[in-house]
Amino acid sequence: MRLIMESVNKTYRDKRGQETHVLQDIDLSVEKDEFLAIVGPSGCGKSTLLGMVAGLVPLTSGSISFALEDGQSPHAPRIGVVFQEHALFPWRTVQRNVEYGLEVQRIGKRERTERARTLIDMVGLSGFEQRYPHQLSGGMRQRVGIARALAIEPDLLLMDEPLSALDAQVRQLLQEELLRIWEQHRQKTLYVTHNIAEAVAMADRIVVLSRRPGRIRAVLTVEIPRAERSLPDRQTQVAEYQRQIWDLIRSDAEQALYEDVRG
Amino acid sequence: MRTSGDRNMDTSNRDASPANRVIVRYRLRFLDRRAPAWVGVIGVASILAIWQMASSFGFVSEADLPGPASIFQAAVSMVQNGSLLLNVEASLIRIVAGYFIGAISGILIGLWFGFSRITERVGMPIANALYPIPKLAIIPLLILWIGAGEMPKILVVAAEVFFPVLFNTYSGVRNTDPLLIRAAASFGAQPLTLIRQVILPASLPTIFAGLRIGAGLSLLVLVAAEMIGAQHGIGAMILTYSSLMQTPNLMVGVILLSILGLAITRGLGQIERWLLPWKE
Ligand SMILES: Nc1ncnc2c1ncn2[C@@H]1O[C@H](COP(=O)(O)OP(=O)(O)O)[C@@H](O)[C@H]1O
Ligand SMILES: [Mg+2]
Repeated sequence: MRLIMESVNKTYRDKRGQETHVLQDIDLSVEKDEFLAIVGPSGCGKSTLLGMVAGLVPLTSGSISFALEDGQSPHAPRIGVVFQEHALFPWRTVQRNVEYGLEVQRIGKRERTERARTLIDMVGLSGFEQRYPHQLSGGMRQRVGIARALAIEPDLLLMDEPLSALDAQVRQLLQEELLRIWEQHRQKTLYVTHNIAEAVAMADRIVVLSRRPGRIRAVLTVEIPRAERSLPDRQTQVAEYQRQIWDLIRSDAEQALYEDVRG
Repeated sequence: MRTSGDRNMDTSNRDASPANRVIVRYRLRFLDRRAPAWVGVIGVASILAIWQMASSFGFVSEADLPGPASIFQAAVSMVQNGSLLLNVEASLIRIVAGYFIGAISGILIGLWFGFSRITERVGMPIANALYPIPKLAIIPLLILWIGAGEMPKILVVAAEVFFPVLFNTYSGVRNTDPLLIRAAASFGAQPLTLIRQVILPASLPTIFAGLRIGAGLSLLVLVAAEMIGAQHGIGAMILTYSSLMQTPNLMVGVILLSILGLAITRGLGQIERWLLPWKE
């Protein structure tokens, strides 16, 4: 199922009736097997856009839909979300956190346990099944969050700055891990980040958003094969992409620095 | 492998005489309050011994403060003639029944206030107005409505427990981390499942804090209610022995209350550990 956003607008209205136009005329689609990154300065509406796709934030106008493939019977698309602040349930163990989405889908105990085990293994947390989130490091929690999102075999994977709350070393490692996992699942992914290098390292296409109201400023296709992006002789090309994106958002980011906006 | 830095360190250490060295000391030892377990037992035993000696040697008159031995004797005779069991049973039934009614209705109505804006708008002012009324004051009213007997005492305990549980449940629900609610919703959890799987567990620690406050208050109001008018019960027992000037028997009652209070707190703590193993 393709994800299609058509002229999506979002305006927040606060208690005093003050309106903030956050997103303007977003037209975008995420194709099968595509890793799409959205970059933009903080406060440009990335989380809002992701929230709307996940059905957690109401749209002001426009529409977001999934297009059925030929012969596909309509079903509610399964969406797996990885949050910036892990959002694990503190009262559930690692195992039961990963099982959560399957529980909601009323999948039987046996299969749940099995699928969760596989995922926990894949994110490298075997042996930690019975731990509670507060007993894990930040990087481990985020892995659990990724496993929880993947366990439901989502039609669409949404990630909202999943690496931003981690320290630089863990971030680098988890980014590589995330790519390895992604290569195994090849699931249509919408990845939101303010980190340009992260986007260039991971995405097939990169959507650059402008500052309020957030509009699509450019869409870039990263032509370097994903596996080669860390190779030394590709670095000039990688840097060129990064510079290009930075040029697009630089002035916006500078403005954001001087304005009081929520991240 | 040794680096040159290591070597430098070594020489400087060798050269340094103890006189010109400043040792870094652990500064927080006074906060490491360590003591072996038997200290508690010995301590309590010695206090009992001193107490016993004070009354044996007549420093304190037995009529004012009987020694542990005579209190123990009194307890034994009360167990033998069955009066102790009778009174403890009466109190236990009242406190358990009252506590359950108060706690369960407090949790249910607290949840309802937490979820429904209308209920909150209507109910909160009423709850806030009823809360400060000393619950003992409604006993006469209750007797008028439902007659004397066990019910007024049970209900007054329930009323005392109800409010702290209600307020805590409500604030637990209202303060559930919205991120967790979003996470559950993102997996497609329906409202009822979401309440059961996310909002309830997230509010449990706050609900338990309310249950603890309620436990202390329930004992207080139970004894007072039993002193006001009851044939049996620990409160009534204490009052009777006091008018008979039987201080050792009276002391048995006081100690029973302490044991009862401890048992309730321990029990709640145990239940909390079962239900909330995820709390540090
Ligand atoms: N619930 C809300 N109510 C009002 N304004 C909001 C709300 N959520 C976000 N905003 C505003 O919308 C803008 C975009 O926010 P967000 O989507 O979080 O940006 P990003 O994730 O790109 O940093 C910000 O200016 C923010 O202040
Ligand atoms: Mg954000």
